[in-house]
Amino acid sequence: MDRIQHLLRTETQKLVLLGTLLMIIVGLSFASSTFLTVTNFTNVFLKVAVIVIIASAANMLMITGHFDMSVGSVLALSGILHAYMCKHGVPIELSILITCVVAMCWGAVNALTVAVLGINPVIATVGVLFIARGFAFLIARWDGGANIMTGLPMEFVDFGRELVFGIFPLAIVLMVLSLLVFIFVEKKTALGRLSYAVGTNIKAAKLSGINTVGIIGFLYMMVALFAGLSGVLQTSRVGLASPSVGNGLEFDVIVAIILGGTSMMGGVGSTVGMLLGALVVGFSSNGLNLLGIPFYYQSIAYGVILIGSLMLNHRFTNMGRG
Amino acid sequence: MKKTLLAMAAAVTLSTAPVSAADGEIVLGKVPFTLEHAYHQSVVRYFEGYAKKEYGAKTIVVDGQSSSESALSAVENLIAQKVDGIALHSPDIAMSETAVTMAKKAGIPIVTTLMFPMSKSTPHVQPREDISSFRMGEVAATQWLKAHPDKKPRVAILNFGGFEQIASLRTDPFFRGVQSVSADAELVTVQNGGGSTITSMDVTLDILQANPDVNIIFGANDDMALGALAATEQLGRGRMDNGVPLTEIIAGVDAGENAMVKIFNPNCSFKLSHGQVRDNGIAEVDTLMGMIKGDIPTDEWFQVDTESPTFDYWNNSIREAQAFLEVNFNFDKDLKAMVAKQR
Repeated sequence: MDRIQHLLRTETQKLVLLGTLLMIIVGLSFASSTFLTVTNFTNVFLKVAVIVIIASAANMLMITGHFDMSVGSVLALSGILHAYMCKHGVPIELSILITCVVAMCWGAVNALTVAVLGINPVIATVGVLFIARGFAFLIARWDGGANIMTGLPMEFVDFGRELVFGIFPLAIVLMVLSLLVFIFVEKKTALGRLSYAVGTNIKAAKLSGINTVGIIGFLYMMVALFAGLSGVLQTSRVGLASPSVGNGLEFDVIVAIILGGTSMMGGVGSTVGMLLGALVVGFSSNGLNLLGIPFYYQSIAYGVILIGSLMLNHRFTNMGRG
Repeated sequence: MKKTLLAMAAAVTLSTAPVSAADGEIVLGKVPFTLEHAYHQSVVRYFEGYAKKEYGAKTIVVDGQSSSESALSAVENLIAQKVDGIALHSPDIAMSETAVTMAKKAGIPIVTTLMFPMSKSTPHVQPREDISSFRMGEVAATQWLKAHPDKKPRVAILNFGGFEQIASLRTDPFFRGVQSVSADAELVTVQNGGGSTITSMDVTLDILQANPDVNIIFGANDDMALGALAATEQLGRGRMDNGVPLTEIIAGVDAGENAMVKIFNPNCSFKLSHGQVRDNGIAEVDTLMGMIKGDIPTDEWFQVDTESPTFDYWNNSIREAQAFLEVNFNFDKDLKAMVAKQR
């Protein structure tokens, strides 16, 4: 009984999100006969996979009190770069490797501007957002068009459509792996503990001898790496690279993180909470589409669900603390 | 340091100085819907080339960035540069009205494309996409019923959201075309694909989950149709047997290279598209030049229609598609070889 009370007190946020998620799932199970199927759940997980993969790292970054607005552009640039290289004879495996390294370089730029030079994360990463997006369009133009689809090797789509053990889509496997890695980092490593310390009070962390620049810089590079990998995955899954993909992805990532209970001020948050936040968004969107609700109502419903979930979260968390 | 900065500022000022029409050369302003898209890039390329070749006119292009505010700002920019005429493809009718009023106040002829001003008070170039969309609906329904006479057409549509013209020129006529062949055809759903391949793929997965018996999908541009195709392929659908539909028929709009490669692949279910670049570019330039020369009144409604030819697997040849792409999209590859490379 004490354990349950302790759980209710300390994990109120996640329990509220879990409750919201269950309510959505139960409601949709009654509302749509096609909702509760393996195929549909696979679709939902595939839809949130990119958000969750990036948000796993971005969540830890936000715990340090920082965030990255450039993820959508890095994703788009990575997809285009990967397609461009594959189209021009670079072996797919090597192309993936180069793309990931280039993506990490964008993370290094963010690390330099934010962690070393002390520029506001919003301003600095929005700068990278524009530059990376511009390069994405430029590469597409070099290729002679607005996007890259024709001329790609036939094996190009294999990576994105790969089924691990013939059952599990690679995107979902990568999503689970990234979650496990960051849950481990959060709970069991010095990096996790120090990230909370940096987010709680960066000045105190510096005075305590914590390498704040190293931690923030490393996390920026991880976020960019995951965005780059997601770009490769998404491009390969669709079989087409477009420089305009990922517009607004940064907001989807931030919404999942904040809905999951991570504070924008830093010091508070968890990977599991972020996952629940992403699933609430993913299942809500899936349900609205399954019910055939017109997009203008969907937009309203989406906002109401987000605000409602946050209000419930806030109310129950305060009650739990009380 | 100061000297270097001043020199750089001077260089930038000189390189970006407005091109004045005062030096005798005719200067046209072109505001495309967005330069992010291959179709609009090609229209601009054709517009610039034709204006130069036929009239010796220079073109200044300012991107409309798919937004009313940006398009209006682009028109303001061109008015400030005192261009001789403006061709505008704006995102909405109300914005077109404001832009036309502004240009007229400045004494600059303006021609609109696709989105006309509410007052219909200026010449307008209108690609007849409604006719082609209707035709595609007819062909899609005919081919579906030929292969599956016992399964009535069940249609899903992906649009851009709230664009009236997209409904009146593309999605509504397409479904009417389907109905003209099969009166009991059902419009199962209309969802927002956002003009994007990724969004359309995700939305189509949900549509097919809720309505697995959807058998005709229309994307209001090729990117959305390709997204729908990717979704069907993920579900093990998207297939044809040498042009005979097995699972569904997908149609798009723009008729670019990416679409043509799929359309002429006999085993892929993306099978129809329509589009026009050259004639739109020519019509815009000719109309604008007619207005500048005084041959066409600048303040009266005058509609110039252009065709938007339809391409489909059953009624067109690869050679026709190759010729269309070469003329309209600067295509210099071998379409037949590209189709053969498809899985």
